[in-house]
Amino acid sequence: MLLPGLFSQLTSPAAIAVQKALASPPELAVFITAATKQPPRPFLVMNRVGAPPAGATQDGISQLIDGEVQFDSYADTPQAAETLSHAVRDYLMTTFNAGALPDGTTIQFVDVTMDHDEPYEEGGMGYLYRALLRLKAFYTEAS
Amino acid sequence: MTNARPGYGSKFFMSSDNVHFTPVAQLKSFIPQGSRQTVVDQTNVLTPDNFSRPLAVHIDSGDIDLVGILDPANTEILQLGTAHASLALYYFQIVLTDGTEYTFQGLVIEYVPFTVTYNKAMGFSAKIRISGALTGPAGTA
Repeated sequence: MLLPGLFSQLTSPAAIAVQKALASPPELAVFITAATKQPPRPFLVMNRVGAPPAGATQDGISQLIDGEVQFDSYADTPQAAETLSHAVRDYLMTTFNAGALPDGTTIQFVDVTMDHDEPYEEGGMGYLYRALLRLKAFYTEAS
Repeated sequence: MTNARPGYGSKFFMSSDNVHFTPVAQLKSFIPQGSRQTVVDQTNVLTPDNFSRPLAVHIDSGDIDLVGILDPANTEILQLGTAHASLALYYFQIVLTDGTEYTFQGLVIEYVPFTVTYNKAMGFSAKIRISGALTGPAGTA
């Protein structure tokens, strides 16, 4: 599946550039769908925001998915949130760009569809800043 | 009550010999642009009122536009290019979702083997020029 595959990729040694901008250990600072309570900061939350088939015809739908993934980078300062967001963008769009994720999903990143700051949010013991990033990718999940 | 049917599942076949028909794969749509009569104006000074008197003299069955998702190695798509390059009249058969059949002969007068956009699935398209009449459940149409 896509998000577990991305989790494994971003927490693998290959993604050291992303991990430098994350709290340590990276396995406790990258989340699928929602973060745990009071996680170490900076941390990253990933969501699928779209995953329709890339093609649909009289013969059915394609296994290739025309997907979009949102990466929310949370940190104590706006600078740290933006640093993490840009590290994710640069790693996935440029360094990795295309290939097989550890779970066998094959993916090709093709576009940055959103890249902006969100208003700060009230946390349990202070404020959190969030940078929002959305990447568009074609992928085929491992069966 | 309106009896509607989805387009999904309809098939578009082609053949060079009118015996062995092969479906054109991965078509998103096949849309006839319509049959049209050519008329001449036979209105003259003896026409009894102020209105024109057209005379239908022949019918052009028009074109059919095909649009699909490209699988570059799929010969069921590539056969369109073969037909286009040959200049030959091919046989076509359309089977609609409910089993209704239309047959006709035609030329693949336009063929776009691929369309590439960096953030979209690749596509293809073609245009069939119908030769003669479309034959359907009510005869020639």
